[in-house]
Amino acid sequence: MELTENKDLFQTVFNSSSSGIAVMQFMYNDIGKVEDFSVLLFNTFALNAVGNIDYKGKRYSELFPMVKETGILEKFIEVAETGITTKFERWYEGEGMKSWYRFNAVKQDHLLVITTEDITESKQSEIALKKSLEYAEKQKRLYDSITNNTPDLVYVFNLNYRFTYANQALLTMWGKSAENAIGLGLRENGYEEWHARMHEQEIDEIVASKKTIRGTVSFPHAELGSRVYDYILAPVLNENGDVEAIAGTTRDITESKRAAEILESLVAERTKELQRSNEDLQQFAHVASHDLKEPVRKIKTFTSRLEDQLKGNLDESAARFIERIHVATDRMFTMIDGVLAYSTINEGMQKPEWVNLNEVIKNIETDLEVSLQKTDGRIFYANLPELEGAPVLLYQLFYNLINNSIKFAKNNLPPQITISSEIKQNETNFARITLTDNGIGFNPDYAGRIFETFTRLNPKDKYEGTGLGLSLCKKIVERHGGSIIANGVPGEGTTFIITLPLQQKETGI
Amino acid sequence: MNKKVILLADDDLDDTEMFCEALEDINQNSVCKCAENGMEALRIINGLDTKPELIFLDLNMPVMNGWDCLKELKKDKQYQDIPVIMISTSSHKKDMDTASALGAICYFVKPNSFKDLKFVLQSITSNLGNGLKDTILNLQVSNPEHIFACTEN
Repeated sequence: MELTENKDLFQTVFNSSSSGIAVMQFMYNDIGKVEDFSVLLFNTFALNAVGNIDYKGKRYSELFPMVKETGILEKFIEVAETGITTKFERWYEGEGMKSWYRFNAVKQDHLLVITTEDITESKQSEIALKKSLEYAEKQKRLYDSITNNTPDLVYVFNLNYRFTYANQALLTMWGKSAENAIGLGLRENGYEEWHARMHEQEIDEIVASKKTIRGTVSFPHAELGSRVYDYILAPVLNENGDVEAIAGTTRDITESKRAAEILESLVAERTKELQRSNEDLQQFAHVASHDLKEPVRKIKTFTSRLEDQLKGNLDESAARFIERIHVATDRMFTMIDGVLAYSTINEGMQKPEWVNLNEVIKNIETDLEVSLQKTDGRIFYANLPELEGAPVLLYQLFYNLINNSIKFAKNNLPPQITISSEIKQNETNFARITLTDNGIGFNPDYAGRIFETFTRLNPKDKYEGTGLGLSLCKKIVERHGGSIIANGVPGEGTTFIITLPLQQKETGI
Repeated sequence: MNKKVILLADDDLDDTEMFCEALEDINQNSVCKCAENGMEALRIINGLDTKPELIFLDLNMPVMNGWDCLKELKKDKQYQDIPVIMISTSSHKKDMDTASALGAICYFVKPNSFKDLKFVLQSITSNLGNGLKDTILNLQVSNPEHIFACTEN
């Protein structure tokens, strides 16, 4: 017997299908059109789908009520009328079913054979895939607009050193279109041998180390000529943590590099200019002070000769006038010296040496012996620190302060000056030196102004001085990288707090 | 004719006037010769019968300044041995070192009073000769802001 005639074989094939198979008979309406189908035969699968009920002779639309709404019935009727085999997909929800089905409807004489396949899974995958693709497309559009609108070069290499991506800026630089550039290697895209080899080596390195490489390189741009570039090549890792591609960005830093170079040379030029004008100032100050002192000296000399000549013939007021001339000329001398000292404070870099402040104060004591004796003044100090500084400047600093304290002593109260210190440890080690006296003090409102040049808090003639001493102190302290502040109470003395680093930078003070 | 000749080179007429006046006041035995600059000083010396006993040279003079004049004097065998005192209106260590290096015996800052000038000149002119160095050292002690003895090289 032929296989196709073997009824048992057919039965097995029919019932073992994993699709539902239904054989149905046409049902006609009053006007002779097919309007429904009566089920003659279900295979096992289809039978299970309807719940093993007695289906023979039942209407298809009765067994599956949703077929009308979903248009499934309509499709079957069409096949019944046209005889054209049709395959279509529909979502069917009802009677405990919720699936995507693919129907294959075939007409045979007055029978319709429907094969129904549950394609939910693959349909869902299909839908998910479509969604992912749409999303991927959207992302691509997003990234493309980012990468194509930056002047920086953005590109990707595969492990064979070929470009798999190049943004618009890079394509423009090459003077190529994407079709002519993507998939090609470095040399084919116009890179010189040394350049291509350099990047290929870098790619190898990245693959091995999985670390990003950053570098700078110079080469010609198709439109702009020779440029300098800063580039970053980064590994792209797959899910196993292996490098599967190299992503890179390159930025043209020619302008900023040029600007930095110009700035540097400007700074060097300005520094030189400044140095030169500083030197000019020193020279001017020296010459000016010398030339300014000349006539002052003459005034003094001739005034004293006048005095001598008129001795005995001067009345009290005339003698007083001459005395005032002397005082004023003396002050002029002091001021000229003061101005010279102040302007030369910036003169030349001083090499830092280790200075023992105790010795400095001792020297000042000796140098001020006369005025200390005259006023019965005393300086108290002990265990002052040793620090790095310019000995001459530090001497001047403390000399000015101590001299001030002696000068501004209270009437009939011997000046007592106390100098103490402590070491502070921060980022740099500092010495905090406090100098206190028992003199006339000052109004703390002026604590800031007291260090300004030519500022005096007392009438010119009452206490001699140039008004420059403290500004000199401030300059010296600042040259050492320190600071100075003053505190005072009128009638109760003055305190200076000087902060100096223990060590100086090598370049000098 | 036995008057000692003291030569002063200074372009400041007030100072030369005062100087000569002071000299005449203290010592009738000495004669003051004045030059306006180093060149003129040399010319004057060459025209003298007797060598000056002492020469004062101001630093800043036109035509030929004090340093150049000093150099010339020390080159000349005739005048090498005449003691030279450099004078100036201010004191810079650099200048004092130069004075010592070039062979001056002392550096002198012009005093502010006539009396001081007379005192100094008196001491110096009365001790021309072997005692000059010591006199100058003594003057330096009492007048440390104006008198600076030069150290020999």
